[in-house]
Amino acid sequence: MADNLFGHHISKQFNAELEDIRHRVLAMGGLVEQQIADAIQSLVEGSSGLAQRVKDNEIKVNALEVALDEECTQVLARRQPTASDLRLVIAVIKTITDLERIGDQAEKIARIGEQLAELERPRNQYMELQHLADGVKAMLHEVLDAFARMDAEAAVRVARRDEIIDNEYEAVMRQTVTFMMEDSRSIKRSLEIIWAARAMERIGDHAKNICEYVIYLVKGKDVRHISFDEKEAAARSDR
Amino acid sequence: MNAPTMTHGIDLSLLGRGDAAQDVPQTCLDVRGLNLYYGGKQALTDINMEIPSQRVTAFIGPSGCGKSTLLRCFNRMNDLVDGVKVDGQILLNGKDIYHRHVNVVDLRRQVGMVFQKPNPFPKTVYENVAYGLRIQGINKRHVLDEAVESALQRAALWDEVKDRLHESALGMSGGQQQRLVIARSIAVEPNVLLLDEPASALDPISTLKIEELITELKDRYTILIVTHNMQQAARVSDYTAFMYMGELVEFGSTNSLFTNPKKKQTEDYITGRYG
Repeated sequence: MADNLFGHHISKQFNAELEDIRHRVLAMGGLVEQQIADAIQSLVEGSSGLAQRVKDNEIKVNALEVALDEECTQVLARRQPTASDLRLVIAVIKTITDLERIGDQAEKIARIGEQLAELERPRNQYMELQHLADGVKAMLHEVLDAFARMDAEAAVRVARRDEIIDNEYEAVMRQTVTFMMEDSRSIKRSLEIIWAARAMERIGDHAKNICEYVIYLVKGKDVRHISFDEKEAAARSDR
Repeated sequence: MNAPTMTHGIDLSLLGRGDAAQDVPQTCLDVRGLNLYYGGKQALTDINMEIPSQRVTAFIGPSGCGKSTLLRCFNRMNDLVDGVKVDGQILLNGKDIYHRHVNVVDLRRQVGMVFQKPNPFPKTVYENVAYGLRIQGINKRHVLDEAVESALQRAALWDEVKDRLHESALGMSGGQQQRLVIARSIAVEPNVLLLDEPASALDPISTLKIEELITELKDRYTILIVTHNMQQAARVSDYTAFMYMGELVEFGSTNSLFTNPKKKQTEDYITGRYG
């Protein structure tokens, strides 16, 4: 259904432009998702090759952001979009900013992985970080899915998961601080783990922001800085 | 420090949304159950709307949707068309303009109208503006001089024509002629100005001058504008009414109608989709 949502304009060219923007945002989202997966894998496995790939692809993510921004500017200038078309362009401009920042965090995780690779590996294979990474990767995947399907209610469900991520991040912090107190030799590694956990927590925040843009896109309601219950009410309303 | 506008030390007026539709103005024109028939054919169906005072209200919709017909109801121009039947009410500041005791000439002085094609009289610039006043029996030179200058000032035309007031109005550009016609309408101090596609025959710069003028005039007059140009409606109006096949589909603040219309028909029209 979503494929047709931005179709049916009298101008077929306009259909094509909006569809292209939508398509490329999802592609950018897919690339960023892959970046998170590669970054965490490079960290867990201590793979410098994978870390390098993340750094190389970061350039692509940045280029996509710039290209999409340009494309949105062109549509604003040439088409003066209104209503859902306008909201699509605005939502895209905001979404790609958050996607690019998620990309930055993924790169940060890969760099931390390079630092950790030089240290002794823990027995648990960075289980706590893997778990956090799975959580934020799933959030991003599902919010992109909600974007593709124009599903505001799904977007709220994803946004709510940011709280779980925040709690897990707190747990990682407490656990890591305990390690540091028990064994001062672990401080260097522990600090790197905290930086990586922090990067993932930030990814969760950015994914939550994208959820809010999806609700704006679908329902025309600005749901930033309000409670989850209010967001849910907005997502369920019929505009 | 004004308590209700401050929170956490932040002046909330800074957040002002620049939306004149935010505060609730008085109603100028109250349309109640209006139907209009051209012979046997119904052209307007059960129109109900309250048009706010000293705001710009735009009417948009495809050709033949009834927006110009509705506009012409506000100064009873449709009375001049054979076979037109109107029922329902239009209250101008609380008084029904279709009441049988209403003096139509007086109504049209209160509700001025400007058309798509500029229609200056084949007279001088000065006499065009003074025309309505002379009809009212005002002939004192200094009164007319003042009124003409004031109307031309308000129509943002004075500086361009002050040295040629006594030349023919037909020698002016289209954009100037249209502003002259607006000056002629406001010289008689109407309450309401009806603009039917006022800029569609003008070049982009003249169009912008008319739009700028509309924004300046709304401090004093209630302005209703029919336009095919949706961007123009979005630029100049505070409220927008979308009409389709003789019905009022959606009427609301321009800000919300152009970003988040409630009806699918409105959405399809303003985004340029076929329904």
